[in-house]
Amino acid sequence: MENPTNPKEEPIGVIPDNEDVTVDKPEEEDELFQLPFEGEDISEESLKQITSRYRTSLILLVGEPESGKSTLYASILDRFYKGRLGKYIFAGTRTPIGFESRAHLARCKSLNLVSKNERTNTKTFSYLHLEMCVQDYDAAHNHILFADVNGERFRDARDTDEDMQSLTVMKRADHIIIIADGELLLDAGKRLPVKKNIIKFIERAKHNDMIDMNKGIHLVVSKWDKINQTKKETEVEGFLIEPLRTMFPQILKSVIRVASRSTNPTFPAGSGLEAFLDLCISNPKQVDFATEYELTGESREFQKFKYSQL
Amino acid sequence: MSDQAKKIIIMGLPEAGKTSFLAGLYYYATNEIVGRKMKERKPSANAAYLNRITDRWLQCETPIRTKNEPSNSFKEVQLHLLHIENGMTIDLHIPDMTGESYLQQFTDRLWEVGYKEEADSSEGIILFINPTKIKPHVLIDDIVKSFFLLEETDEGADDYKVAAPTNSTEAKNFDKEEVPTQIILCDLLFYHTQMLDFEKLPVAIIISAWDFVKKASPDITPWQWIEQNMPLLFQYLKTNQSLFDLNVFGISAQGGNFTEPDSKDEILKFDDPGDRFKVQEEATVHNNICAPIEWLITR
Repeated sequence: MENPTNPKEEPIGVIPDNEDVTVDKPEEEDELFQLPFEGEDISEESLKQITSRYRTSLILLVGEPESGKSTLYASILDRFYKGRLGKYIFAGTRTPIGFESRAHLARCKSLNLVSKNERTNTKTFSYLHLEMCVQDYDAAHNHILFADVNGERFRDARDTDEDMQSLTVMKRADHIIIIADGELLLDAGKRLPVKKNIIKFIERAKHNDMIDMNKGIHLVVSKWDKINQTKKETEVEGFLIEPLRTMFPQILKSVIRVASRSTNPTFPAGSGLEAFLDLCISNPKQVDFATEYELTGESREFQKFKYSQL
Repeated sequence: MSDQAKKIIIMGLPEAGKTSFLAGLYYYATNEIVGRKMKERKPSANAAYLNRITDRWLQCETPIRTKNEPSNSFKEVQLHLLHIENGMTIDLHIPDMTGESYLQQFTDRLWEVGYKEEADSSEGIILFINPTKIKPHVLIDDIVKSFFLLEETDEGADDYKVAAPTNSTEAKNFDKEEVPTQIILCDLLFYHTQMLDFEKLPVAIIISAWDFVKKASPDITPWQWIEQNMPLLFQYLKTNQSLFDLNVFGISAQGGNFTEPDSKDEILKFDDPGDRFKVQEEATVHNNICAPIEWLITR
């Protein structure tokens, strides 16, 4: 998967697009220079440093604010801290600080503590990077970029065509995944808006031709351990999952039940994460990205995904 | 045979065992130790720092923290060595960088210009990991509330104390310095592979305080220790063998814990301080504290 003619990566973070990678050296011997690897989330402007070098799966995970996106990301790294995640082996991340800041938030939320580090209400996409091998240490590396955006952007896209159309990353994403908060689905007073908002989002995406029918959309239901513990799997299936399958038979491709953190031994912490990663690296888009760019050249985001075929 | 100037970078987070190793190395090179592989060929032009840290090492006093040393972030250590078996003469330069400076590399993403030049002209890196100073990863599902109400003293992770109970619902701020050791080391190693001009970065990993490890797990090897105690780092190293030329050593340079009176008394009973050294490569145990240096310059 990696380009053997270019063993060094172009740095992420401080190098403007379309400029040669150089490191400015101050004249004074004891001066400092900025490392061109920030460790934080990758911005859209810097994506090509990954995507031009590696075949990369782009995952768009969207959902309501507080639906569990940060916890899901953090829990993936959580598992790798303890060893393999199923068949997956950790091979690196260019965004360790991005992952760890989300882990901090996730821990705060699980304790009902308020963090001063809550992500700002920016509606700009940022990206987390994860590199993994499957089964063997010397297997090819799989690169995943998780496109992360504030839940408010999900709401905006649900509400207006203009905001939905601005989610151009949906067209490039290898998989679009909507996350539903499983705990809210147990609450009779809160589950109706959850269902309604997912339906409205899919309808508007479909209306604006933002969904590739071959790729469709996938649903992740978080906190499934709580649903399992209360023995309400059938109820939740009947309330949300079956109706979505009926309404969007061509669009809803799969449902993954996840427990990022759990005290339920029958659905332990980490359940569903391997299936989530299976989805993330499945059916990578085997297209010539340059050709796709020509066809849809107005999208700025597509420029970041031109992959040099080896 | 002409002298060969060799440079080695020693890397590690605060209190990783770098200074103890240097003190032990200086003692090893400058004293008659049975079976030693290297010895000092001529005195260092300036051995003040080496003598100071070695004096403390001999007295079983905790090492001077490099961060408390005057002047810049790294002290240049120079040893003029002779390899006893093959006659190779080596001028070894080891910048003794502070652990704080490596932590700062991670948090601030800054490098000293001089550091890149030093590292590029080196034989490789010795990475120190102190098993007693690892910031653990706390799983989201493992947390307890006290984790967020901890306050850190100046002395590091071992000295955490629980703050007085409060009714606050405000969490401690996210602090990059509190990120688990494993991911910091993965990141440090990653950008060294990218920033330096090596095809494969030579890295000798030293698990320091190896006596502490062996007390709990007598049969464990250094690689097994990493696999069992730092699984994320282990996975990273194993899946990136194309980036690294690796070897792993377990080294006890002190012979025990200087801060524990019983342990200190035991160490002081050694007639020959050279008997404190314990070095393990795979299953082989010896006292050649120069082994990581030998490996880096002869591999």
